[in-house]
Amino acid sequence: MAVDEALARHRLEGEATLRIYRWVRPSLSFGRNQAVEGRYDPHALRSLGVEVVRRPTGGREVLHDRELTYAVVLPAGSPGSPRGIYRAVNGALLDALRALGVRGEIAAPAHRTPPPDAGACFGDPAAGEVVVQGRKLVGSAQLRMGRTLLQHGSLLLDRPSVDLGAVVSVGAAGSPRSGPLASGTTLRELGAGPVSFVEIASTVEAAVAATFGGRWRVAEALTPEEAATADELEPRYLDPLRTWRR
Amino acid sequence: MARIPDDLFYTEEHEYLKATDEEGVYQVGVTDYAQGELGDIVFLELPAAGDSFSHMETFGTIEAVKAVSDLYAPVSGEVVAVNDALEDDPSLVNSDPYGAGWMVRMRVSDPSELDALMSPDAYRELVGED
Repeated sequence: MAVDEALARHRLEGEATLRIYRWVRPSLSFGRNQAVEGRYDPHALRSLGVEVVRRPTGGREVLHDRELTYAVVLPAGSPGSPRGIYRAVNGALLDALRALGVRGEIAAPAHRTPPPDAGACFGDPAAGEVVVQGRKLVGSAQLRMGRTLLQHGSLLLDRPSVDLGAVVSVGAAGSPRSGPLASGTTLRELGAGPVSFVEIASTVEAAVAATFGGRWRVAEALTPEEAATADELEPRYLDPLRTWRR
Repeated sequence: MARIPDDLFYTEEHEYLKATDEEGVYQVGVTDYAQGELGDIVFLELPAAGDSFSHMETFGTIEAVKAVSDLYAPVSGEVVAVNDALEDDPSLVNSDPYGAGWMVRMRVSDPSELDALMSPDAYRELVGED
């Protein structure tokens, strides 16, 4: 999360950045403003070996485990363009999925907008998200900082290695079916493969570059400035008081 | 078509300033165009009364369906009031951006900064509604 934010803080004029990564341990990320107090027991999560972090972006919780995570950093333009960028990035991801033999589509507008406290991200596809047969395959969220927009998201490769069903307290903040992966789907379930992480990553890279054109940098290594900012931001993302603040 | 009232100041970040009955105190919020482009507002993170900000410093965030955007102080000054009603009902920003959906009231510390803000006509041009 600190690296994604650092990439956004150091975007160069006329340049866009793509970062693709995966997670060392299963990790639960909360949305920037999501209320999670009473929904999860931090001790139970720790005993499962699940790390917890609060994202800089909006939306609801995501269990990151067997997934490909992408982060794109682009010029934001006006408030209109975040939605345009959302559609465009998801369009690029659809192209990448098609190249992998999966036919996805963009979710139609929902009747109501779920608040950030409404339960897991993969529970309900929001308008404009990538779904396959009505089930969400990619969950994404955005942060607009001045003239820069960060969008990051998770493309689910396989079911997670841990089951959070036993540690989520279901109450006002969610319904019983809204576990961290409720009703989502994965590339494995859709029969894509066998395909390696590296192949999927290069397919996503090619699709994003083809969609947006222009100057793209694939952030395989950070610049010294980005690394310094990421180091500076890291304590904030590791701070449990910030993670559990709501 | 977005409403752009004639009696307000505007910024390139799609915020507005509206004079209040108290001299030097202005109401700040996002424009009708901005709320329309952002979509359904689900959460606002606002400062506390008494906090001070310099020009273009981030004073809060606004979240609309997964997208969080920074809010920028359009002028330097002190926050003298915060619209607590938005905590329970952030959709007021969508339904009444220039009225019940106001965010903070700021006492402007350097009135000359008002001169750098956009007129209604300049803002109409920015959003392509001139």
